[in-house]
Amino acid sequence: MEIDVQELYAELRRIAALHFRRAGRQLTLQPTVIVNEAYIRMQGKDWRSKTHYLATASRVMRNVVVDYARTRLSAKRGAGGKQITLSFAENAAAPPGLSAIDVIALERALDELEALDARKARVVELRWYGGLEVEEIAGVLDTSPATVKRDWEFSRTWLYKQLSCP
Amino acid sequence: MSLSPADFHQLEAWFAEASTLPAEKRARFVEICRETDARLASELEQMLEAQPLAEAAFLPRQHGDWRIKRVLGEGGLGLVRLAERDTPTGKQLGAIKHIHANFDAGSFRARFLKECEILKALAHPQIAAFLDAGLDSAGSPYFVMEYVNGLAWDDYTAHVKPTVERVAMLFRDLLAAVAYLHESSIVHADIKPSNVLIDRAGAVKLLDFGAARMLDADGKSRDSTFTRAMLTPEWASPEQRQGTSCTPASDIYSLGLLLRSCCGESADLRAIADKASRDEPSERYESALAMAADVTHFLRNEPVGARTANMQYRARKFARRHRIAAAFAACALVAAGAAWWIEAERARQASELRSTLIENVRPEKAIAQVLKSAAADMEADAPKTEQAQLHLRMAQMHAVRSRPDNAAQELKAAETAVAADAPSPERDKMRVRLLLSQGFVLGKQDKLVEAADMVIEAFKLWETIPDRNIELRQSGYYLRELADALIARGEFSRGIEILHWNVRRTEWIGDSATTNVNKRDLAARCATIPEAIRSEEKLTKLCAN
Repeated sequence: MEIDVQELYAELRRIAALHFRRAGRQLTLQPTVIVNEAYIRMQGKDWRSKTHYLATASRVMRNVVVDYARTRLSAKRGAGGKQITLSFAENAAAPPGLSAIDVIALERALDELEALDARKARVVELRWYGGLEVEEIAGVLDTSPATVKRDWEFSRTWLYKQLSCP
Repeated sequence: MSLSPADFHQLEAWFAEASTLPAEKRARFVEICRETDARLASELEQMLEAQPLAEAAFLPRQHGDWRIKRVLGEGGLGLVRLAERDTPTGKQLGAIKHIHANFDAGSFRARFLKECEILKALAHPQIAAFLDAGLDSAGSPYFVMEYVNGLAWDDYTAHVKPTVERVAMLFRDLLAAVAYLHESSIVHADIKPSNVLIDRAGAVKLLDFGAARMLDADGKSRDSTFTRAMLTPEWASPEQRQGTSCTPASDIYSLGLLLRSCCGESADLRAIADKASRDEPSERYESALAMAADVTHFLRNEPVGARTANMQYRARKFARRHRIAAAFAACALVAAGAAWWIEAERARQASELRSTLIENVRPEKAIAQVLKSAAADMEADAPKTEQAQLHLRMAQMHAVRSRPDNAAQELKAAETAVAADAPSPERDKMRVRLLLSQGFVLGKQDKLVEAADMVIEAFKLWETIPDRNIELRQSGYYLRELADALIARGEFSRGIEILHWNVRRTEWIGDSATTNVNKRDLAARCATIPEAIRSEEKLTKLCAN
């Protein structure tokens, strides 16, 4: 059975909004947490497989997060509005401003990556937004886990570099 | 900069190639690339620089049950981060160590797993405990250690400014941990101030076994691979720096340097530090225990072996000795006992039960496992000694988790089980172990006299067993501390008798160096006992030995 993307989209938005409210002023999101939460809530429906669900959810999640970030930015522009950020593993050694990922900057870099190598962008989407395991991603993309690992290793470094020295 | 798809794939290929190279060879690789395409090569250079940060930034925030909180530091092979997990009794903190993606292969991965394995096998109050291990979603290994919230040795001595006596006491605890390591055939190989922490409760913790190695039966280290590249030259012994060998004596050397860095004006401690850090390994202390004995002499105002015997020095020591209460001796007792007991039990065991226990570090899981095995054993109508073994094991767990009352209960159950068995040397061995364990638990409950009686009874029974083959290797430190605590409370007869058994113990093991130390210890303690008391029949005999 096909996933009802509209329903999924609505559910993800609801949960994400809840998380934003809970996060208060901090506005950091952990997309994988939201996707997993959505999965739990929507269980019982006849998804073809968990992986299939998560793969779809990761694409939708990416849209949810980016939409949020853009709405926020335009609503608050000029009033010192806050950026929406994705939680980064906290790292004392990360460059300042990169303690959390700026969603819009990441989206820009991800688009750039997509233009150069679509599979790599998809790996990032599945891993970062969807929280899929390497094996699962390999299944979705019909490639080997080793390739996924290599793609992920390269892509995250490349993205990080794009984000830290734009 | 914008890249053409062709450039991008060239960069990707170079990056994949460079990632497989050790750090020192990468610069050379970048230079070779530069000859082909300078612009792309500097892109590669930047990416290689960003790689560890990128890895840390995009690492999943959850490993197994553990949620990542923040970065604590970067170790040789990977990142160490603070993490927490939920337990039935609340949140538990841990330090999670994750192998760096670049190192997750071949000998590096083996080295990382070895560190994990070594930590897993250790249980000592002064060593940061192993909590958990697993594979992350990419298949890279991680393990979790006890999180020690404290100051590194050098920061502690510089900022807290402890008295020289306090330094000596902490150092003695550290030596106990190192002695325990060495008796477990492990050399730490990287003892330095940043690997020795003083926690909030003021206890010493030794950590980072990233360079540690196992010893062969002949005392030589097995794996000499690349640990040389990882060591810290300022604190490493000459033989480590030359890469010729790495033995317990190398740890003694580093300990000597550590002590020298904080011994202040104390000529005694300086002498101990000097003896420990001689260039020639054979001129150093023969063991961490021997070094600890000298630090103890210093604490008791007794002559320090490292200083030349000189009448005036000895007289001065003697005069000061009796002014200061020896009461502090008791506090080290519990720590020493825990270390010995766990290790003695562990060393003796080879059963599957043991590996279940050690592998399942989560107490509730371990208990469940033990109970399950216990039930199975009962069904199989196992000998009573086996059942006693299970109770003993439960008691051990309770004791380690500071529940002496529960431990005592289990020991009682073990005793009942053993009493029902037919007499045999095996049963007697079990009883010896039970008595020693009971002694330990009683000591933990501060019932020193009862503890001493149990220990003495245990040794008396031990001597009647034909082959006497019971693991008693680790108990020396405990026995000495127990004797000290007893003597400090005026229980001379029991204290001396325990020291006497300590001599018999090492004689039987065949460790003549330690036997000599123990004999000297016995004689020294006898000399402190007032003549009138010593002339009692029993003590005269023991002290004449």
